Amino acid sequence: MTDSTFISDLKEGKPFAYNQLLNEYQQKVFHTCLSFVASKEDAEDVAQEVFLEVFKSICKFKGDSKVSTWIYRIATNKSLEFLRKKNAKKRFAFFSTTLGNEIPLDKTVYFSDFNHPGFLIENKEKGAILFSAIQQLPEQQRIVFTLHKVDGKSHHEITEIVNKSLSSVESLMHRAKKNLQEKLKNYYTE
Amino acid sequence: MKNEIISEQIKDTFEVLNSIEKTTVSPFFKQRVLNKIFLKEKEISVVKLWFTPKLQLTAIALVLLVNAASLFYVFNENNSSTMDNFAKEYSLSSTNTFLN
Repeated sequence: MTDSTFISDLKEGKPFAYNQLLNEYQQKVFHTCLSFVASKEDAEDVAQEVFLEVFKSICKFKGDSKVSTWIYRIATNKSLEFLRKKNAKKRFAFFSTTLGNEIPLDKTVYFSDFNHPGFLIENKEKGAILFSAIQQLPEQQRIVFTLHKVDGKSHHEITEIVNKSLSSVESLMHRAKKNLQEKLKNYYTE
Repeated sequence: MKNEIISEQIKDTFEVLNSIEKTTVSPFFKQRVLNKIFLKEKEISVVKLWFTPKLQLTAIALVLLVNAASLFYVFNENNSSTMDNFAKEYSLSSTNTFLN
């Protein structure tokens, strides 16, 4: 089935088209979301939001890019939106604890959210440290690094998802690595 | 020496990314999403079925008519006669005081 037939079937709301879409993309979308949010339950919730958004916005899809690219773009945006909301809640909790004269967040609490099921037990602590450092990167660097190093997407795929040239993606990747090294160095020197 | 240890720690931290194991989505995920999608579709179609375009136009026409009628009523009302009626009703007219 060609992309255009598939899209028109989706636009017409044909159940078999949704079925096919989910068969093909549920694992990939879940994996992308998991790469950002690092928790199986949260990744499934975000992936569900992604498919609902695809269903809602399919009428607006003009076919400028591949369906897969469009879906990954939605997955990336939804994951970042989820993290923003989660961080806002965390900040609020932090202010509450400081105003209530309680002990501020220490490292253990800060990394306690890390629950990525793909990390072996012996790597969990390092994974938590790395994910925490990734969270502190500027958004574009974070997206490129996560999609490439955690989700395993190629530079070419990333150029399509973030809509940037290959050189921009490579440059963002380089800066992300450098920044991460710096952040990890600060963490380990403390 | 300390720098070397730190460099090694950083290298090891990056290395964990190469050993991430594949995680599979829950077996019920697809069904859950399909249910949600068709539930939403049903909700939309129920609203569409009930509030048809004809009904929407009629509702708009009715609202406009009520507005026009109230405006017409307000601007065509004889204010002075209304005031006289009001004054008479509460015995406030200058020709009909308690002193007379």
